[in-house]
Amino acid sequence: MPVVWIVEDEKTYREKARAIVAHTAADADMELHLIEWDGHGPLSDEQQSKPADLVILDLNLSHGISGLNALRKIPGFHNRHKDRLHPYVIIWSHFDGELEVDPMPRARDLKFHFNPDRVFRTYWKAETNLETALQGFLSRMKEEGVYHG
Amino acid sequence: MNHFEPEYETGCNIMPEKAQDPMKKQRVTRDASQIGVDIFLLFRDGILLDEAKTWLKLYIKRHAAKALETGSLDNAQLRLTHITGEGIDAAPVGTLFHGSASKQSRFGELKPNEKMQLQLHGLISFLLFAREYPAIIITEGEEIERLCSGPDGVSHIQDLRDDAFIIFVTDRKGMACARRQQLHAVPWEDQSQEPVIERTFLFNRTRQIKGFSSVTHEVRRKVTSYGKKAENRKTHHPVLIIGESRTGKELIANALYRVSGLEKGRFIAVACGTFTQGLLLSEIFGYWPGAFTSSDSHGGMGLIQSAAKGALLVDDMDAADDPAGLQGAFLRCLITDPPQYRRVGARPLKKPLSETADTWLMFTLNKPVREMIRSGKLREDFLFRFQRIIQSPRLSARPADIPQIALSLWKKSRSDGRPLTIPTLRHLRYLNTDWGANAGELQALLLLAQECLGENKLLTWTEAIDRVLEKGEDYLTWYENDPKRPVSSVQEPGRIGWASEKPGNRPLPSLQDPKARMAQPHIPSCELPKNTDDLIDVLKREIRTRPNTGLEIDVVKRVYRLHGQESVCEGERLEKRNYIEGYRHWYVLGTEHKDDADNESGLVRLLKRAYAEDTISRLIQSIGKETPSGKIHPYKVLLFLALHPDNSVKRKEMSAFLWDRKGNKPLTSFETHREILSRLMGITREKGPALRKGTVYQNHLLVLEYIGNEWILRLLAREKDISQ
Repeated sequence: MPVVWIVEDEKTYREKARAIVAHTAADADMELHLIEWDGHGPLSDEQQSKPADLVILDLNLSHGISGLNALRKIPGFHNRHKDRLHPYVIIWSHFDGELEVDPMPRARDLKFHFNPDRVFRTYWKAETNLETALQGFLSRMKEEGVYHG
Repeated sequence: MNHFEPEYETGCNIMPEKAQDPMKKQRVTRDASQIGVDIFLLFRDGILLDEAKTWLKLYIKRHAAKALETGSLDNAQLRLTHITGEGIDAAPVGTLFHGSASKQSRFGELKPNEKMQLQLHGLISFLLFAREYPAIIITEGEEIERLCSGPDGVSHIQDLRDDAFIIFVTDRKGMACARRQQLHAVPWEDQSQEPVIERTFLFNRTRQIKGFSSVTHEVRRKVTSYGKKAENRKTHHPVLIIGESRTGKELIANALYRVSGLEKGRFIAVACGTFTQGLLLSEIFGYWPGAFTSSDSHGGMGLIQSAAKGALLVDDMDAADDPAGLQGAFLRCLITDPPQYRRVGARPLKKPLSETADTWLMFTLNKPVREMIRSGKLREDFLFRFQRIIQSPRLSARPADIPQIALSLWKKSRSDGRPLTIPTLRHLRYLNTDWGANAGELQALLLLAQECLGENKLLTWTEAIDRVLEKGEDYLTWYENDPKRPVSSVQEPGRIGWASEKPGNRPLPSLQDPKARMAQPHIPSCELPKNTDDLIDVLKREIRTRPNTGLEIDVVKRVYRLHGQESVCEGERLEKRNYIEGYRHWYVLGTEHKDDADNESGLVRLLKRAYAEDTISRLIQSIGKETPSGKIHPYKVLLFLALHPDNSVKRKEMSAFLWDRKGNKPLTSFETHREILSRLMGITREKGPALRKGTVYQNHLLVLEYIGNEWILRLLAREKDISQ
């Protein structure tokens, strides 16, 4: 079963994301394993045992943690090798001014190799919202096949 | 389970001592050919039967021996994969072979990517769509039956049968099953493994030719039998390779060259279309000093001589100026062996009249032979000199090879794209059984799909491929920006605006006559009314009824020219420029006259005539004064045309109109385009909606206004009744 991680510190947005994931997955006729994480707490055993296939990421987490740093703790991102494909990432920016607060870092500042083909960023008011991004990545997962984590 | 470690890192020291020296010689050609075979051990309970073990041991021994004989044990890689009910592992070869057998051969492992694909999609899909080496499957009878029934209800038996390089090694029950299904199978009691060894080495010797299907296998067989080693070969039988373009004729020629061990000599290919025929002959056969004006004073060596002890490929014989003449020139060297030829300008007494070169001659033709003979382009006596003719099969004759060809094309073209997965390859394979495409079109398809994927990350491969195919087989449509229009309106002359106006004046070509239909150009250029007012009527009607910018501009051009001849200025012109930045054609309003203002106010006059009063009433109010101060840049007017409510103009097309006349630089990017528009929009920029990328403005009107010595462009929502 594909594993979807939602990394988000605010409860309201987390629930919103959960709802969107649920109904998109239902539309795509896929069963997902959903894991939520606030981005700074320790990972439980269950969370450790579920390597991500797709991560919905908030950039601006509380305690001043950047989402991209939090990403490194998620199982599935440990492998830094350039040739291995990392999980899909949707960087989800809901509008609270965080576009200005936390801009996307440059590629060379990142600690690991991001495959631009597998990362998507949604912007506030953009044509591509979380739902369409999810739809696209879910259909790609369906076609390419997913590890059963 | 993973007891086994790949040993190819520490290659040399595990070789037996005697084999050291010949191996070192071979190190030069190390990468030239990698001899690989995939062996799958398919046992559900995970226990290898003893017969299977002995067969495997024997095979490994013989494989190593054969590889030594071929001279490149270095790369003789066997990849053993053990598939059990639980999962997929590298086979525990280490525990199997403690003795010298394991040391003499080299074992590999599936690449992680391949392993993942195998896990996700099952053995049968992996075998048919993603494998790169011949496969030997050692298994029991029940497993074969299970394989044949197919994992997902879809049976791939026909493909399995068609594949010449999947070999089953089984017990008696499995043999019976395989015979029923007509699969390639060998009993494991059988100790003579020659057929299997032969086949796998046949494959590896002709690795340039992609694909595993039986049609391709035939070609491989021919190649290996024609290309025996030079010492075994008494005569230089010339080879003729026939096949359409991009079916791999040159690959076959190259395989022949490699198989025959002519590496000492060179492989030289000449395309006959490149030179004029006289030059070509002197290139091939060489010349003596003074043979012609400006010939080198030392004479020139011909390609046939510089390819001595190698092979000379004369490519595309039918592309030469005079194919029959060219064939006549070769007739003499085809009967003698080694080929005897005469340089240009050879004279008796002084120079050798004829020379010989130890060259293997190969020729390719890419037209059907019978037709060529009938049209006199191919001499029959030329054809009869060949005992060795290879037909290069088309892609449609071997659809089972499409996945392998696609994979290799993909690897060659770019490595950083999204990888091709089994579902994609399967999709390509079953795309269309009577797909008339060749490898080149397959490559174009993949690259175009890759472009789609780059534009839209969320797309999947199959979706992208479908999207490309939707756009049509016509390659050129990718570079045309015409809005979609029904095919009938393009081809039927009766539907073009003014044709119905005065049908009696000229005979309309009948619709049924295909010749007449073909002769009718897309943008009609000859049958416009002479009178300016009629012409403007046509333009009005066209603009209102049919969103066809090409036509509009054509008509505008005419109106403009006529009008200009009459009253404005003779220096004005509307140029048509071709092929810039991928646009098929586009138009520029220009003038040779220095005083722009007057000309352009003439254009205002024209616009006033061309459009309905209510459409441009506001425009006229502000810019209607035809004074020199009312300057309009032509591209603004064209922009106006382009954004007219009845047009659905695409972004590219719009930016094609935007041409900076002063700096000779096309403003093609949408960003520049938007910048100009917003500059033009001036103060009203905040009020109106901003122009957005990728949007087609069908229900909007772009209005130019002249307020306070400044041009202002505004986007207005269009009222519904304008078109009526």
